[in-house]
Amino acid sequence: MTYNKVIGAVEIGTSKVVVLVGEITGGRSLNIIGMGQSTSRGVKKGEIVDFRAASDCTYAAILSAEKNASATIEGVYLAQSGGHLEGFFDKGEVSVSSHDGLVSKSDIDHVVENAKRKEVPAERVYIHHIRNGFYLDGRLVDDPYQMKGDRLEVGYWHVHGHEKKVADNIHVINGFGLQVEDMILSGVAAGSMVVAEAEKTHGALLLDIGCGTTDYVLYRNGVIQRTGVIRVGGDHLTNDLSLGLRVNPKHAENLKREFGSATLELEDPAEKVWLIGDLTIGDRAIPRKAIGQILNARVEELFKIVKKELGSSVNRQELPGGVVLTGGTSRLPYIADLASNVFDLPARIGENPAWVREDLREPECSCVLGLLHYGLTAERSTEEKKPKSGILGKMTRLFNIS
Amino acid sequence: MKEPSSKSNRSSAASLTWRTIEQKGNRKAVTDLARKRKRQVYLKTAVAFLAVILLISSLGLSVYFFQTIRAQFSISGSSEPLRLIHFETDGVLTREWFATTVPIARGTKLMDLDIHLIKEKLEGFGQIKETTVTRKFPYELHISVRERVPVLRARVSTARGSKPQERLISREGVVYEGMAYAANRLESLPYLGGVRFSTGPEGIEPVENIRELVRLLALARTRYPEIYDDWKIASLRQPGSALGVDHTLITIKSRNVKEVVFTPPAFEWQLGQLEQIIDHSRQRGIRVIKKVDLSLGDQVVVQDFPDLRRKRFRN
Repeated sequence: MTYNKVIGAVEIGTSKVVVLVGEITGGRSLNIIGMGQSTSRGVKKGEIVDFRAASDCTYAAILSAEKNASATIEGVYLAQSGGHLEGFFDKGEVSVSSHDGLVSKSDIDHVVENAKRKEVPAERVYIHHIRNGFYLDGRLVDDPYQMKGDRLEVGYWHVHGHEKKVADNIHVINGFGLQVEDMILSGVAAGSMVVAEAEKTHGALLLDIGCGTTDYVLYRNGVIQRTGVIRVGGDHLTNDLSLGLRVNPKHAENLKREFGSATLELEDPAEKVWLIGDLTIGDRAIPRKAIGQILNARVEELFKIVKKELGSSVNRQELPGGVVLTGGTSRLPYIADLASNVFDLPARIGENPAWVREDLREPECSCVLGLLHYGLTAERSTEEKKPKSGILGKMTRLFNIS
Repeated sequence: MKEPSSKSNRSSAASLTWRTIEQKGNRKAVTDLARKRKRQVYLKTAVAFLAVILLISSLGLSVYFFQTIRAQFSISGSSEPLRLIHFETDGVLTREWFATTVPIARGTKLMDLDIHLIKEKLEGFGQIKETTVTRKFPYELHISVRERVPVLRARVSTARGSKPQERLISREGVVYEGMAYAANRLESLPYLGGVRFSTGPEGIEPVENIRELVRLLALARTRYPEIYDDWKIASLRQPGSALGVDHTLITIKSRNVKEVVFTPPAFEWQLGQLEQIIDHSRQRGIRVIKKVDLSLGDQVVVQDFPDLRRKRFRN
């Protein structure tokens, strides 16, 4: 007997809401069966500032996705971003309890519990406890069970957010009669799609540059070492163009998309482009280089902020995997080159896996695809934990039915 | 990034996670889309709930019927030969009549009796309106009968050319052969005249449209018993029926008034008028009146026999 579940991956972004519908068959395979998008309203810097407006556009996207999938979503995996998210590293430690020095299950449970016990301020809630790895007498081990040692440590990167802002996101989904099954950081979700396992193992930095925020995730030894959110995104580039070129934001956005570039070295340094392009009053030709200069400055600043936050951990020895860029703003030409220059690391634009449909391979879809991936993983672990007892379970095992 | 608290600040209580935020399924919908969606969800839930209720009910009924049938099977083992028959009726039939009509062989086991057949047989008699036959284990049979009440008599030929036989007519118009009635009770009933009886597969067809006649007879019997006792034949006519006019005429033939014509619905007033006419005639020494027509609204037509005026009123 196969068990099917329809899940929705929802990303309530600053510029748009994206919903993907996936059908999980037997807790093992995932089919992407529908997609819905709507222009976002009521969201600034990844945080909800107008509940009704944000709800309205989220529901429109969900309905569109459900209609596209001809299915009803049963549970939601929700992306979480915003400047209110913070993180810190903490370690738990215990002495190995058995007299023969072998690590027991109870030692592992105690050290994990110990590491997660740190309190956050009253108005904040934990989003994730991301395990960095176990250390047995100071050496990194994958699984310390039944290994010999005296002192067991475990490191966690704890991510926490403002309770009310997190609750707003959840309540938008609840208002549509749906439950949030899990909440995943936007950057973590996107990274699961575009960063290769080898890069994670050697060390890599993911930058998910969205419209309102930039999420970063630092991988090392195959695990997430650090995450963060910078309150700068594609909107700032548009805004800078609007102010710098004295043009309204709509036209600035068009200029960014059409002529924008993160480099100062153009093929034709004297090339001029029309500001609006329809010869209306106020339309004028401007050097294309000016657009590049403005965008280059802002993107460079963004990368420098990230570099400053990460400090000494950003170097070729620590991150030989380099920088992986994703998110809508990563479409800006030459942005990978700029990242490479600023971080002094190899940089590339992340690509979604080849097994997804072509229209989902855009960098904006990395996050929702990652959410679905997490949904599948969660369902798979739930299925595995289910005891197959009784006659039905025995028959299922006997005939190898799943 | 800020670090929340130092190691020395650790609490024994677990810190809150986003999962501690209450997720309300019944959270108020703030947009039209959400409201529409919620209505659809409620509707689906209600349909599913009803389906479950139906399923449970049908399962319950199945179990009930199964157990009932099983109970009957299990009881049959303890069934004993019939020893006692309780026969009760709201009419005149007796236990002896039942014993003669539905003979049951001695030593028949209670479970071997076909109670449906007994019921069918009893209800085949026109006099019986409804029958309930119940087994009372281990050896009793209970029969409860509701009988029809006769209001008229009739002489009916059951076959072409056969001699007319006396039958009774119930309030519902059912024509039946009366059994076990006291003779004086039947003698007081007037005959129904002017009706052509037809025979169907189940015997003589019931008489139609006698509701008003039954009402008149019941009123006369309870309120004017002296007048009623004198009535011999009651007949029913609907002269306007061919024209679609609902106008019923009831003609009563009696000894002292040879013909009285009533028409619904004001029977009480008409009977009062008739009583006054009879009293007045008596005072004047008129014994027999030829005709009183009470069917003309507030006009009453009285015809008498001039040559009988001086004869003494017999009653």
